[in-house]
Amino acid sequence: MFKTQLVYRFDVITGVVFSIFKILLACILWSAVFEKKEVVSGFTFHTMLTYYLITGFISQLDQSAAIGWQVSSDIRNGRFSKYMIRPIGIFRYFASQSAGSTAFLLIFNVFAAGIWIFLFKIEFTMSSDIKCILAACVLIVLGLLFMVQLHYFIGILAFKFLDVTALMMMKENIVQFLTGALIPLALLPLAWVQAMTYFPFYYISYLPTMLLLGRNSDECISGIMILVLWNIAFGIINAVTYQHLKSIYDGVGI
Amino acid sequence: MSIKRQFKIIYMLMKMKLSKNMAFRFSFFGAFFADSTLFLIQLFMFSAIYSQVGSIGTWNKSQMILFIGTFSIINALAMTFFLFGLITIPEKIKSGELDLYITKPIPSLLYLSFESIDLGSFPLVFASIALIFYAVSGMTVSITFLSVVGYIFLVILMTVLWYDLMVIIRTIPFFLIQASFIENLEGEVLTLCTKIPGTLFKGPFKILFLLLLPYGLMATVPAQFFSGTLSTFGFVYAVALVAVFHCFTMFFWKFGLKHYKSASS
Amino acid sequence: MLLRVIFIIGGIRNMEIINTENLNKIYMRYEKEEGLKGSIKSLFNRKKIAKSAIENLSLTIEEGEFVGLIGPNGAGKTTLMKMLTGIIAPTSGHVSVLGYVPGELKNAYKKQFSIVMGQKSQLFQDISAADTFLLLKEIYNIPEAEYRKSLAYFIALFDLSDYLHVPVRTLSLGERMKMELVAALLHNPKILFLDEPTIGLDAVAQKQIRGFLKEVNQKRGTTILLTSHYMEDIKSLCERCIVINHGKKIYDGSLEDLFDRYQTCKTITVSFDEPVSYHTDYSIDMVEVNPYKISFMADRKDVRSIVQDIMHTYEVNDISIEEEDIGSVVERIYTDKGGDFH
Repeated sequence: MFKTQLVYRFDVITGVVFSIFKILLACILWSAVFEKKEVVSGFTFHTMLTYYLITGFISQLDQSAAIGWQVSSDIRNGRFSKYMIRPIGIFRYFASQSAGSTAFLLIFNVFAAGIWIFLFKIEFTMSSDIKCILAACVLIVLGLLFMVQLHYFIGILAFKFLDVTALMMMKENIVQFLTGALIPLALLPLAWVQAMTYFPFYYISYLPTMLLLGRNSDECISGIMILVLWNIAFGIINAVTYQHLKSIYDGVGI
Repeated sequence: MSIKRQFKIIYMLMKMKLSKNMAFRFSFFGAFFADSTLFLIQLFMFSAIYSQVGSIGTWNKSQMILFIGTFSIINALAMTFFLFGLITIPEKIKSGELDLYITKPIPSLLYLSFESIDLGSFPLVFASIALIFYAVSGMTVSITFLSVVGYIFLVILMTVLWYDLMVIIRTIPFFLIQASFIENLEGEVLTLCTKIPGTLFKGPFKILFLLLLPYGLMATVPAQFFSGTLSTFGFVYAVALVAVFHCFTMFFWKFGLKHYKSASS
Repeated sequence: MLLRVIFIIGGIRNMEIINTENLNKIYMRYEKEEGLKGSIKSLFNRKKIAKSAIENLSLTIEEGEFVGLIGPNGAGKTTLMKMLTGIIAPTSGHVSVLGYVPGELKNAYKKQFSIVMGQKSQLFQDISAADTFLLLKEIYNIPEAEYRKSLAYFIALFDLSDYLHVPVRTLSLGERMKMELVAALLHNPKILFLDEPTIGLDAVAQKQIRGFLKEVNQKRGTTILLTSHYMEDIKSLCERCIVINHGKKIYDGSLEDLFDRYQTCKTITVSFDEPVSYHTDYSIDMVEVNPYKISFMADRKDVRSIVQDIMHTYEVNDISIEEEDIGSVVERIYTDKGGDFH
């Protein structure tokens, strides 16, 4: 069973290995920047690398993109019918699939992170504030849930648009930026960052990472509350959209 | 086979692809939307970084924008002409569908490369040119006829380089069954090399990304040329490298064909 | 080589256009043990197994022939065809078609043949067949006048004018296959290779295609090499057939002789209105027996008498007579020849 998982998940595991590129990029880019300056927006070279390490780790946890592709593909091929007749809630099915992938990869991700720390000689320092660490964990879980909902949403848009590839790619680019995976949001103009705090992406990866770095500790509670609200909102959006678009479905192909 | 005939066939393939989807729907411009967000985001990213520091390596803000714009235009050309054709090759090798391309009296690579011309990506070229103009407006170099011609020449040259690299990667499935991770690797290296100019690489990474997998050259060389920071050696090196890579690609593809196992029906 | 010179001097009427000598195709497979342990082991030391797809195969086909290539699944028929068209390269041996070495994939050679594979389509699915034909006209450099004439001829022959300008995707399987054949024949190839062209088609379409192929072979002199699982195809079209099993040629000769010699049995299935106990003096092989239904194999020459017997003696509800399947026939040829063909 483990073996078939290995073979099946080969691509996903290579994904873990290839996460090295994110660190490599950060390393090369920021070593050039930090040649000119000691501190950038409160980051030193090593805390910057730590930032990328943690953000990279969190983004690797999110395996829900597969939902977007799977759902839209099944709808296009007319194979979505098989979910509609199952007694299990469709959303719950995909959510648990994603959770399973995340759990499976957790070990590999932790292991990989350890290797990158060693390879790039990162002086890994983390906050020791229990409250912040806990808040970060809660945010990460809520964030993963939100991403599942987001991908599910894009997936069921296939009822109307059929081909959601472009949407998925756009989402990928935009979300990467908004979650702070490309650069710490602290570098952006204050007005931008303030605006972003109303949206969920700020809390999925950026805030947890900053909390673990010992910063932004005053945003713990508000962060959790806002993300919970967004999760609820999207839960409703998904339910409504699904009901509305389902009627368009042809069931062509089967 | 004469060049004229080759172009005629490419033209016909394009007409056919176009007639398939004439409606200017969202999906027709899908690639345009997807990739323009990519470059837009990159602009934001570097604007943020440059708000904190004056230069990254030897690249100031305008030069960096030129770098981004250069890659954007190479990407646009690739997507318009051959990208969507080439990415189907590994699947065709695996399924045996390649049989029907090999047995036609035209170069199989030609047919495969230009089978999926995507005119919906072409607007990206204009968007990229706009970006380039924006970059140049912030630069202090003098714009001469020679610098423009040279830049265009290098952009086309680097597009050919990208073509070669894509083909080489997709020739590997002739020999290796489980080769999809190589395409993932290609994606990662591309992401890396489109976010930072090649001059930032040091040590072994220099050899890796400027010689063996010269993605690091692609947007760097034309941008450097236009900024006036490209040495003669750099120019000659780039041209020679592309020539070598191109010859190797053609040879490697033919070699791969000989090893085609052709899945049984 | 000498033999060929003699042929030419002897003034043989037909030219040989396909010739293979001691053709071999060996695939290397890597064997892996079962289980996790095996997977890990295979990372370090893989056992190589040579699988012979074609073994020592020599054949000659002359211009204008219509040859059937038969054999069970995995026998090597498709592999042979792929070597003749240059898709895959032989491991050893000689192959020459129309004077070319197929593996060299010369354009001049490719212009003179066509291959149609039942499972794969060369037509673009989302556009009309007419559009694909125009592209093929360009690819094969067919002169305008000749193209128009050929197209008109085939469209009339198949009655396809209604289907020419709709997306290929919307055509039925039969119409699609007919379009494939038209596409293959537009440039008037000297040889047509057909790999399971009628697979999955209904009886009417199959019949139409058979008629078409016959006409093409007779009127245009196109040499045709056909593989098919349907004996009807082979029987109605080919005078000569080559039987391949396990990569070896085990029969090469007239089809009539083949059936006379090897397709010796038929399966008779009878169902009765009332329970019977069947007896016969003829030597038969019981396959299934219960009071209301019997199924047995009998010698061809006895079938008529047996059936007459049954009809006279019992109250028959339904009776059917089936040909032996090709697999059994080939098995019989193989075992009869002692696994060797000489």
